[in-house]
Amino acid sequence: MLEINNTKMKRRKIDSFWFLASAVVLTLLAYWLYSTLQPLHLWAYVLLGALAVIAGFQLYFGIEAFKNEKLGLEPHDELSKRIKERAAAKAFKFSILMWLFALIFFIDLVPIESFRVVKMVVAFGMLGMVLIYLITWFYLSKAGIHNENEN
Amino acid sequence: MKTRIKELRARDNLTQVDLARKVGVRRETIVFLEKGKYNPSLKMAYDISRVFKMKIEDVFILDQV
Repeated sequence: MLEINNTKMKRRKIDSFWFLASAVVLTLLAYWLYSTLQPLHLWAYVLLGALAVIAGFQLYFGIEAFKNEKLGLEPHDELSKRIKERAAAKAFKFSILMWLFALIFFIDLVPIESFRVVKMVVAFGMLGMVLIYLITWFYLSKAGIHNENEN
Repeated sequence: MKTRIKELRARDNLTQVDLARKVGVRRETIVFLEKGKYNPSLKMAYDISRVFKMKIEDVFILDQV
């Protein structure tokens, strides 16, 4: 029993660490975008909006885990781990296409000076990857994993 | 894969949260299992069957073999 409690405490500490770490990273990223993209234009608002959506997803998953923990249930189990793995695999596949699209078309589409264009593409790429991962994760956590052999 | 989890839960008067607690999983996992949206690992299937004091093949039914 004591061992189970110790494991739970350790896991809770690890979860809290990752929650805090992602909150710090998101805040710093928001600050970096806000301060370096002055004066704010449409694309800067899009980036900051994407950041807000990411924070929303993180908060949602955090609250779900906390609710389970409060009911005395496991916040993570084999299904949640498989969903994360499946989401990561799918997100990687989509991200490759997204980067190709960004590098081929986006640079020519956005009419702003060169340094900012590169910065915007990188920012869009990073946030896009995170968003794709979180949306896929969210979708799979609602739809479930029907068949292990499914791609 | 179909399961008899919902029926057996009703038989034993267990809520989804009770069963999740006994098996050591999240409530959502029980929901997915009942809807046939997730094929559990052998260990989880064994743990669930043990809660109902039944054999795995009596709780989980494969559509095609």
